Amino acid sequence: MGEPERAALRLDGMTKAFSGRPAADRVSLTVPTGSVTGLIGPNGAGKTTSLAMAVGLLRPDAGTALVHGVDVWADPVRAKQLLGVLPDGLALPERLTGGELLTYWGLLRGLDADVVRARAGELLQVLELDAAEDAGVLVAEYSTGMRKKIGLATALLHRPSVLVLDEPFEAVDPVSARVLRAILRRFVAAGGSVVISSHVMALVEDLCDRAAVIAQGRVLTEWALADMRGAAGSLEEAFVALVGERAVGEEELTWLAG
Amino acid sequence: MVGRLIRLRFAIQRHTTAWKRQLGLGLGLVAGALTWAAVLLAAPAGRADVLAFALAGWLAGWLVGPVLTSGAAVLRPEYFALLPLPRRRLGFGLLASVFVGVGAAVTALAVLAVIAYAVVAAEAPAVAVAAVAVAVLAAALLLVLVVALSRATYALVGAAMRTRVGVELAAVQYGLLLSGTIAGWLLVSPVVNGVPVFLAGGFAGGPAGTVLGWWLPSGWPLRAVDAALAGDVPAALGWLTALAVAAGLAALAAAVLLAPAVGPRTARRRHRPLGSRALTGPRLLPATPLGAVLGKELRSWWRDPWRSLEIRTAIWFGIFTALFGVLGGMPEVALLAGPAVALVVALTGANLYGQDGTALWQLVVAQSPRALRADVRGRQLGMAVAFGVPAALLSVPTVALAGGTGYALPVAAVVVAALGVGSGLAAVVSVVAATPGVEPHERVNANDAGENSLAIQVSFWLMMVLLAPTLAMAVGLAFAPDPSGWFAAATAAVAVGSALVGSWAGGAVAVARLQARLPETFARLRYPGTVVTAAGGDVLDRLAHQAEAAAVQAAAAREVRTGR
Repeated sequence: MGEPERAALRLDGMTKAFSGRPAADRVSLTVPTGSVTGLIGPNGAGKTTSLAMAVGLLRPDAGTALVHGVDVWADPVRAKQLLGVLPDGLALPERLTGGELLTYWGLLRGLDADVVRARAGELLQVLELDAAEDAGVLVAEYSTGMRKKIGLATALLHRPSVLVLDEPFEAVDPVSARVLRAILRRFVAAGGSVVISSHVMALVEDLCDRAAVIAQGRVLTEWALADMRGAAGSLEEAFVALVGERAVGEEELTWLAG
Repeated sequence: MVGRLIRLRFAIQRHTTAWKRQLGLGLGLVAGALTWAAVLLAAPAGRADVLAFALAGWLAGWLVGPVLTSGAAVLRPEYFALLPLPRRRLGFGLLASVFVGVGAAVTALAVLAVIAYAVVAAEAPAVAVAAVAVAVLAAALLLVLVVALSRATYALVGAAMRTRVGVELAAVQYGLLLSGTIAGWLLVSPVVNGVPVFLAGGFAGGPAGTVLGWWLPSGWPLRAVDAALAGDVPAALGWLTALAVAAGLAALAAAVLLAPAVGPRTARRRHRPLGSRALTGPRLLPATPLGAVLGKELRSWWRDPWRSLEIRTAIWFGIFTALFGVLGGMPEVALLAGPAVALVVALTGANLYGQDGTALWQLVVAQSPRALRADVRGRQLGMAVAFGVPAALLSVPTVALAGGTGYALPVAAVVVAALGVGSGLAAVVSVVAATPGVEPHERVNANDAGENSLAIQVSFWLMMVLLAPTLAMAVGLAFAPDPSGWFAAATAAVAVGSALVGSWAGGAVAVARLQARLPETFARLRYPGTVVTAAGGDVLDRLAHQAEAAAVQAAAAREVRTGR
């Protein structure tokens, strides 16, 4: 950790090809400490691939990822202690309840049993998963939004300093989304840093202070959102101007409805 | 709609490997020819029993076959869940599409042996005409019944992975197949020796003749034909009606069950799951990484239907092996029941990480030497407990059955050695040959969990080699006329030694390998087919490469079938 001017997360030239097809092409990105950075891009742009390489889930063909100066791929154990990760759409130990999952996870991370119990109970309560826990609902029976929330709880449990969240708001109801945003703001206020990927522009605009646009495996630009708004009006307009838009012509899809 | 479904079915089948279909067709034709031969070769006194036996065989084959061959349902009902069709009609359509296929054609050929039965037995031409008419009708009804029952069972087992009873049903079938391949010869040899006698006199009025010929619907066509031959028209019509009702019920059941399942994936529970008060209840296991993994594993073995299926299969495998031994006149074989359960550890554990799907990401992001060790050792311990308890419980009655406490030590020695060696092998192979199945929260069918047949083969043979010293000593101890005390002590020592060394060494190799390539192991589950391990390297590398190649092929075949 050390010097405060160091970036919380710095990706430099991260490259990955699947069967010869590039999924991430020299992705470079800086997340300053204490910021919320949004990674936005169209479907299949390489957001998930870039984040997976940043947290040690996918070995890059080239490039480095540093968490507070610690190289994720050279010193994974120390780097991963600093990271809290929420991947998108992966399995969990499905036949545990939320409380059991957090207990297992905290103990595996080497936390003290009493700390785990206290934090897990509080997280379940704040994320409104406590009713499901009381009913003994297994993770396999959770809804998509509930899975996101229990995933976020696992990311937070060991008190990381950098959160990397892949699509954290997908399928989360508006009320829970407000809770999630409040949690992330508190996390940042306490000195943490956050990267989220999303395609919901309004959300990125509301929550993030920085945004990076990624398309076809490349980072096209990085903005401080305050500057960008002045220039282009809204994030969505700036984004569309950057990645291009496929307009629907007058003569297309005329058979729809009517 | 049926026409379109049939065309779709053929389109998908064109993509399956040709040799499999040809082998299936070949085996089917041989079985059909055997059915005809049985009718024509049997003496008049035994003919009805022989044909009843053959038809019961076809019924059993259709009931068990589709469950055991993976991906048997070419058209999965879920594909059509969003089509604006009445669910019942779609069910009938899917059922009808099954009749247009090699299996149904070959079976039709076989059940038509009922006509031969009518012709051969008829004494006057007038009687023969009536009997043949009855035979044709009865054969057609039997075909409908058999195919519909088969689809209904398959759908039941699929749907049934949501309930304990369903898991049990699937486990009985798997257990029967496994024990059949290992101990089935005990039953087969008397049957083979008895073929000439059987062809001459059938079951000679034994209970088997009554069960197969009168109770099972597969025997009813023969009753109808017999009645027709005897000129008893009401009785013939009665049997035909009974057959038609049975076929109708089976078809209705199949149509209902084949409608796409859109309900919840787990059955409604009445109670909290056992041991689920993690946050409020007392903690039984140590509050360490190892205790955490062991707790998770034991809960998963208990609650996950796909893992329960492995345990229940192991138990039924043991029970049927014992049963075959007793029926075959060799009660000593029953002693293998407990060891058989323990033996399955190496086979079923060969894909521990694959069973959990992409959940391995958790270990990747929590990576530390301590967590990796805890994960491997916790899984080993979990397996040893999950399979060790039923193995021990099953060993007690079988030792008593085989007659004597003298067998207790040899059986215990083999069980302990098998659990230890098996958990070591399973740890290595699960890491080296991790193979993805359907993601855990999307599983529907009994064979969705994913397995690597190469890894299972390797595990099985390595297990046999590593167990050989213990097996040799145990067999010697069990059947020596008057074994000395030191022989018993040495057997126990060899067994415990094998178990300790096997589980420790296997686990250590697994930990080392995970430490070196944790992200690669995860990538094999997360991106199947894209990350190909390098050819060459040491033995483990080569096994990993082979296993991945097999998994990629299987995944490609699955994608063709599901159209994903």
